[in-house]
Amino acid sequence: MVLTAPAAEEKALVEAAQAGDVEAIRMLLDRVSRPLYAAVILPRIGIAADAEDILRETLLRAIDRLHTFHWTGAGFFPWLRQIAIHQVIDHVRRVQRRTRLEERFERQAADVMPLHHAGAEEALIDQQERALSLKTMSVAMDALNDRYRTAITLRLLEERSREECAEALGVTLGNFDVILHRALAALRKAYGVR
Amino acid sequence: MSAPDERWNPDDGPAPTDEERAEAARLSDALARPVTPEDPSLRELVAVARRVHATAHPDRDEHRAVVDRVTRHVLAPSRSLSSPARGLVRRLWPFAVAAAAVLVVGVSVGRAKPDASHPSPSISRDVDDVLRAPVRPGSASAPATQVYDARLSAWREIYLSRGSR
Repeated sequence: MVLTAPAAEEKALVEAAQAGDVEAIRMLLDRVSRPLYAAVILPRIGIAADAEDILRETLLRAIDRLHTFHWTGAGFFPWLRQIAIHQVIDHVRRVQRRTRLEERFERQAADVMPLHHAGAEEALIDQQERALSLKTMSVAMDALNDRYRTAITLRLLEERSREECAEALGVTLGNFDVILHRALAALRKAYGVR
Repeated sequence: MSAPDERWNPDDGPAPTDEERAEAARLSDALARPVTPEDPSLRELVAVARRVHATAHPDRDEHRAVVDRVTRHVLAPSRSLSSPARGLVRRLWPFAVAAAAVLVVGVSVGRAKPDASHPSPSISRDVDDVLRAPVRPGSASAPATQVYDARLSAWREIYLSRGSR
């Protein structure tokens, strides 16, 4: 199989990293760590401190297991992403009350590989991962009733103040808080780790 | 502008209890602060809200800072062992801890219960035995050893003649 120049470069980096070249490991991680954190881990965890811990653990595990990575043409990121998703799932299992069925669905969803090619630029990986996260969120939001969806859209997506949100929904501030609370509780059920 | 409706809208579900209102107010307060709440149920809802926000509003500078910090940590010089070596250390670490624990317990038990069938002689008697025993160079003794033995004999005589203990 003929590799594109970026893919061949990535493959060479992986081989150097597997041989113990710390600079190659650094370059490899520099390429993919930001989209891994910003578009894969954080949108699935929410809490920045927890997401940072998961990123750290993911990278440490990746370095430990680097010798087990086999180049298949898909590139380094999907392999790293799998490690991250499993770290996320383990974290969610530890801190949240979830059913086994939900976890099974999550693991199946985690097996889906992103579509980008080996050697893809950081921006492309970020864009495609973010599109996946937005789609997941959009599907979960569609399951909410209109007013709950509006509350989340105004407050979190459009970043409007509570006062503006309450006014848009025609309710008091206190009632808006209740609507947003219920909306997030409903979204939590539909917005699992994917 | 019309005044907001004080009454609860049935389209928004059943009327909230006072407890639910209080919890909703706590959530609203938590969302306005950067600190993550400790209460697990509140924390879960805050996490969902921040997931939604992070998906739609990536803070690239902040993300870069986090990634730089983490990358520096995982590639720190103290972690410069090669991957297989570090993996081996991690795998063997529990065994090393277990072995150390067994050693500590063994030593503790050994000290706590001395074997009565082998009474430990006093240190002073050991010294006496050594000093009074005849010095006999072994059959394979080297000249240097014999010289040493002669000096030891001389020193022993002086020591015993002074009555030192």
